[in-house]
Amino acid sequence: MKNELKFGEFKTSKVTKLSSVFKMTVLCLILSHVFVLNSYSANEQRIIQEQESEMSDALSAQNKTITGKVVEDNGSGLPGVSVVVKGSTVGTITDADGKYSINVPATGKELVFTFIGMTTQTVAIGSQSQINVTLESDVVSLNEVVAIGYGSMERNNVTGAISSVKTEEIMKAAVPNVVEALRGQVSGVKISRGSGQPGSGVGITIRGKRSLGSDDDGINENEPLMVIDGVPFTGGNMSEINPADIQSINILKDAAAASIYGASASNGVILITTKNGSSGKAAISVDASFGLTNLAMKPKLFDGEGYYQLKKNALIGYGKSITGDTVDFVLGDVVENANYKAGKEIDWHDELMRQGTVQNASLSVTGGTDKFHYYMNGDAYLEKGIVYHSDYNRYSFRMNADYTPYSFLTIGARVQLSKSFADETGLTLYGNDADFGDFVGNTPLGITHNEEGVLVPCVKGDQFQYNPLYRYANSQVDRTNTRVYINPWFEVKIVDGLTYHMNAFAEQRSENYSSFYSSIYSNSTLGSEPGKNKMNVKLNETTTYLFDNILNYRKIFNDVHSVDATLVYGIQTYDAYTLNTTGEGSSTDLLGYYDISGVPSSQSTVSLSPDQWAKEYYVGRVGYSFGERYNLTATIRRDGSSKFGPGKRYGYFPSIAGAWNIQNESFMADIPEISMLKLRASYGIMGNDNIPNFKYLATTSNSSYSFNNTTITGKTTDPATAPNPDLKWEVSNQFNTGIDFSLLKNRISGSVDYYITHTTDLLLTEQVPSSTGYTSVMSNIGKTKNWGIDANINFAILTGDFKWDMAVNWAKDHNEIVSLSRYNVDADGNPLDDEANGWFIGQDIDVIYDYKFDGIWQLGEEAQAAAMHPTIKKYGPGDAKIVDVSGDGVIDTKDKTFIGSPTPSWYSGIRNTFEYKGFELTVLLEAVVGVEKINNYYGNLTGRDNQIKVNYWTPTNPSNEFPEPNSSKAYDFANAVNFRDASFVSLRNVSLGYTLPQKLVKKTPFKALSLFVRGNNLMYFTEFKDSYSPEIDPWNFPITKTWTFSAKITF
Amino acid sequence: MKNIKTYLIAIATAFSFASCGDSLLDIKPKDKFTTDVALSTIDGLEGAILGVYERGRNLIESNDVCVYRSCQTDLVMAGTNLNDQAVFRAILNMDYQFNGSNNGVRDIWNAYYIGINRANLIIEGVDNVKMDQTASNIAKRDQVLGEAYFFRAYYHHCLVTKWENIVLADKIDPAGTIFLSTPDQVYPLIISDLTKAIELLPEAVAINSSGRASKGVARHLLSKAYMDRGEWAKAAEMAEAVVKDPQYELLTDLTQIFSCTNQDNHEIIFAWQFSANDDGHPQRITQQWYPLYDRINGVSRSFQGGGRPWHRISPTPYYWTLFEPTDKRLDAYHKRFWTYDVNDSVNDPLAAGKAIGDTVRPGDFTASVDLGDRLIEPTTNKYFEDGSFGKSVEDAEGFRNIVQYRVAEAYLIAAEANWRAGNTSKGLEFLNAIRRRAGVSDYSTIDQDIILDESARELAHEGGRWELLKRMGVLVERVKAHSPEVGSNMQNYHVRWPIPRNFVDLTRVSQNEGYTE
Repeated sequence: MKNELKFGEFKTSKVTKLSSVFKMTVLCLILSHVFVLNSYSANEQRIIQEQESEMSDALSAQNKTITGKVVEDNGSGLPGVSVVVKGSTVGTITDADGKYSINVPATGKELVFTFIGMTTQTVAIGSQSQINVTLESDVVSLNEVVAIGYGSMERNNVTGAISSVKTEEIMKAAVPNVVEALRGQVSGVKISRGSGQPGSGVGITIRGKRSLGSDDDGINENEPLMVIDGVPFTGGNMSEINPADIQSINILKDAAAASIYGASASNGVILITTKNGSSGKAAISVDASFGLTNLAMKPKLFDGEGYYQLKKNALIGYGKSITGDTVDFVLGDVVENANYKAGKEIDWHDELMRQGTVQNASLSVTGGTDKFHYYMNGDAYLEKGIVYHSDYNRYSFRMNADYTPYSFLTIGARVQLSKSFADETGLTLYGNDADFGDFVGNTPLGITHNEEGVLVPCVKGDQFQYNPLYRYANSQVDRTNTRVYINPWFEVKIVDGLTYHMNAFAEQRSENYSSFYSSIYSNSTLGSEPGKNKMNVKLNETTTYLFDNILNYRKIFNDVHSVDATLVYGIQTYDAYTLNTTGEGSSTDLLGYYDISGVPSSQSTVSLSPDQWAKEYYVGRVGYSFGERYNLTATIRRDGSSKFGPGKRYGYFPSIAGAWNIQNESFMADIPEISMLKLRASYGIMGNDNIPNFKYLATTSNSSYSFNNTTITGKTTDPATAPNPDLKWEVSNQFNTGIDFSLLKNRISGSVDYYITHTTDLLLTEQVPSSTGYTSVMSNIGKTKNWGIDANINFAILTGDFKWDMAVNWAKDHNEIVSLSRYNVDADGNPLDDEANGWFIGQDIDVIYDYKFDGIWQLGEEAQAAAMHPTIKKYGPGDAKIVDVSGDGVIDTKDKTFIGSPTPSWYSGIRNTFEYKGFELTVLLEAVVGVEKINNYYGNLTGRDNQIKVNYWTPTNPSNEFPEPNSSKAYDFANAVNFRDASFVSLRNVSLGYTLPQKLVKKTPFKALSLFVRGNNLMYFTEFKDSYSPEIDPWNFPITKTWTFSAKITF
Repeated sequence: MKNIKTYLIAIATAFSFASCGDSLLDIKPKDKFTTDVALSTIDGLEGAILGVYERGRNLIESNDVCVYRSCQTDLVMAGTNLNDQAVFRAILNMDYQFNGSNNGVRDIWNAYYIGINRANLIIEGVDNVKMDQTASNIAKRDQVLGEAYFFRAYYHHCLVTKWENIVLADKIDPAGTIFLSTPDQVYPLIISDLTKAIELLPEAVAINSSGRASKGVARHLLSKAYMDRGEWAKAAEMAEAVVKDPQYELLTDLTQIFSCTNQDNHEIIFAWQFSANDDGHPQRITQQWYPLYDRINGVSRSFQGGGRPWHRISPTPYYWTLFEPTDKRLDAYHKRFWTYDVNDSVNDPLAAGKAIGDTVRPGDFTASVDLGDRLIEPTTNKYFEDGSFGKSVEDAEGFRNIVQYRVAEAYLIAAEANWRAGNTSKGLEFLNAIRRRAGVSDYSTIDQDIILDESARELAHEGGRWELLKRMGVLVERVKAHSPEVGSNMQNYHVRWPIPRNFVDLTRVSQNEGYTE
């Protein structure tokens, strides 16, 4: 009897069920906290008011009321400006017309007017009873406070190259990952998304590449260090951090700024500060958005007819003479033959993709008193991917709060819980990452279901043309991530100017990856036995601790000598283990991977992989500033890392930097057009220890052998892990010089930096001659040079009612290899290329060294073609013509040349912001120019699979673009033929917002209401069209574009 | 309040100066030994030797190189299904991609050296093993040491025959200068290692597995090394010792030699061992040989037909001319005919006029792809695998053992060595033993072609042909004469393989003559 229960019908509910339970919990938590906090804050508010009224009673004789109006520089009243008596809790807010009235105690000397996006103004009260103020828009926040690592500094005094990004700009990008939101926004920071998988990470480099390492072992050696609230991020995915929780991002780009992070700093440091509450009534906001995602770009494929013609031409190209019925001859496959004759075809993109959606809802409460501040946010992000079974749901909860029980003591804590549920069934093929080749390669003449309506495993009679729908129905792959951390801190003011700050951190992250393949899932490729289901449950747990002690001394002597000194001692530890169980052949498919205990013990395996590292560091930094004109910062860090062997663990990372604030010189007083001019220069040393652990040791791995069908195991050397006791971190020496300026009352402002970096002792998996018994070793080899320019300029083009701001950033980075491994030297010690790895002295790290395409050999050129390719049989018309670089009349390896590089010549972002009466439109364009790649999406023109539609050569179509199809072999010199310019301009973000004017909002129960339409990744202008985006890594999840509609309501 | 502040300052100061020091950073992996620890016990040695065996077997697990030992001879040509197999195709056809950049060439070279290094670690570390000097421990240690010497010789032998100019890796010397040695410098090590191995290893009869190195396999390899050196008398002595070893005999039933159900028979001196219990390590040879028979309507994919066919390599027409029709080996060693066995009206309809059970004849079927009669090209059956080890008919992987040496080869070496040493009549005894078993008439004389032909009939496709042709100096002429497609690519310099490109780049050693990449 046929089993009525099918796996596919059973499995769907799991993710949704669990996540909805979690959703409820988070909501309950949020609501209860909202309630408690709100009542608490209301209480506090009442207490303050009572205290104030008591005070006012006592001092009424000496109090006075001040009234006035706050206007913008165009003269219109500015509502919502905070007006506070300096040094007190007394304050008010301007009304809809910008008017205010405040009762000032006699002790009050100054009023402070603050408004987001405007320069804060402090006005002495004196004897005035009416104070009118014009606030100027704050194009560059000259006196903003910048996070610099283990402390902060006023922008004025900063000596290094630090870029800052505000939360508003992050939020305008409708993406769930804060790093992706930075895309195109910061000069010298290049962010790309190689995969459109919901919840996946993004690639980021600051000032280009220095390291040769690839991410083969899961580590990208060119990725910057991420630091969240002083804690270096130890792995996982930035998607687990809710962008809405972020207050500001500061990017430490040069050595002077970054060397404070020592051995991990050479790729730059991204400092992320999360939000905290500020004094005032509780502000409760609700953000809700709904969005639609679709393919960003859709490559053109051959349709049924085109595919048929390709197959036919491939047979002709092979030299077959077509006999009998042409269709029957070409389409031997029963399914294809029938569909072609019936005129039926399938567009696999339609079949395998759906309308993707994103939903985001968050509820935040923030506020505080003078002694207590809090910020709390609960957030749910739900994404339904454009590929079936590719959902990603993330829930996060954060609470940041601090309390000042005594004037000298502040205690606080940051707490976060985030949990994500991902359905990765649609991304997984036989236990590996799906390559999405089915979307392109599957025959348009195939089927998904047979005549009885049952899913078929393969879309035609070719066992390699999988039917993804069949896979989806017969497998289940889930990934759950939980990240919980608590980050308590306290700060003691010891004596005037001297504070001690303790930052402690403990995090637990668990990742649960489970997969299940039903008993009818095709077995031969999966490697399980016929008719047996196969499953895998993997649990990875990591624990991170950090403990920082920070002593800071800050004092101004004689009004001109300002000193800011910091000493840090800290440790960080990381401890991970992965428990992995696999099994096959449980008695039922209905329980999915939960039935792993039902697998016979002979068919199950367990493995445990622990991992660990620790760091210890001492940091010293002294900043000295004279008369707000001359600034000098010196830092040194002593870093110890367990990744290196005894004697190699500790290193020193010093830097020195100076800056001259020219505008504060007396001779500049006569030049009001220049409101800021600052020159900076720095030099420093940074390290890179971004390698796997224990690479300095000679460790063994398991090996097994069978004698008479009895398998025994032992420990043996691993060819890929030769020990290297001399292993140490990579060292980058960087010089940076820059200028910051602001002209015409901040109408034009910006900065330009030039840097040059010499990186030595590159950490790299080095090939070693196998006669040593090993093939590779982690080693410090070679040198690179890296230089570049990054610039950003902001223009306040129009002010007044209609405002137009433009921010332009532009960067160029250049890298080249100076020398390579000890094996790559000639007899005189001069550096030599390492062609096998594609590394060439004096060339870009990623340079493409290959043959150069020169069109297609045409009819009549038989003799020349054959003469140039004596070793390839029948090379002739229809085959690729290759440039004879060596000029010897024959194409061989001597004709390989440097044909291009994926490193851009320059990249840039242009952000235009237009504001008019509550409307705000922001448009961000990103340009990446001078990028070259080999487009691996092109097929091989054998006709076995469908492929990108290309104009291929046939005797009657003398194309010069692609060779003649040939059913027996892929075309030669494919890299040369498929080499393309991948430069692009992208319409990265568009954000249109409307904030209801206060007059209207007053009639609603809300304090503020804004509505937004936002688009991300909307359009690519590129020649690299035959792909899902010019940035995608081949065969990854297709890249998407997103439109979202959202509302932000504040109560 | 003042007190609180004092306490806090005290605590802060204490924290600031607290230092964990090196103890915090001194972390060792929890789940791995370091190599010196692994090799410090007798159990560790016994485990470590598996890594030495494993490298030799590793090549048979690779689709690209598993049959490389059978390639480039007069007995094989390309199958019909090599289009997308650039690495394999280059090794088989010696096309323009057969050069130092070929990944298969690199993998083979690397596997041997990694195996050698693992053997060297044992040979050099054996004196540091902490153990009670009991007879049982000493026996275990000697066996492992003997195995290490055997494999060090075996891997060097594989290297020196294919490449000639190789690095002599007779010790662990990671920092030393790397240079190439000639065969004259390598063979003394091979011979002395094998001599030591013969002393240390147990007799074959004591080992109870053709997968374990024994005195027998060490003697057999030593006889081959002596043949390479032209030391005929010594070679004869060694080969005869193998022939006379009571553990070995010529099976009278030829079909039993490569049987899946009799894998440990007395014909076999050494076989690479596989097991479905260790399913991460399957052999991938079987499917390389069988033609795409299942594309014929009415013929289903079956174990009997050859299982999943890939048809990457095929015997040459010349090969079939070597057999007399009565030679028992024709049927015993080959798959020559397929039969109609299915009639599925939709997917696999039987052609009109055919019945289930009929033998498929050339020309009586239309192929969906224009492969013609090559869909039933006869092939070797020496790698046949049925479902005995859990393989399904769809599987590209299997778990049968792969025979490396068998006693028939020792007979042929004994025949040739004696003949070359001037004792033709003694040579004929060994040669005719093989002939008689195959049911064909005796030879009355010996010459080089007779040795080559008999060797082809008996040992074809088992992997020794290339070395034999090369030793006799007839490799290029034979391939050109009998495997024209491959032969047209073959150049005189192909008698030495190209040294892997990355090895040349790393060490600046000279590439073998003739190769530009």
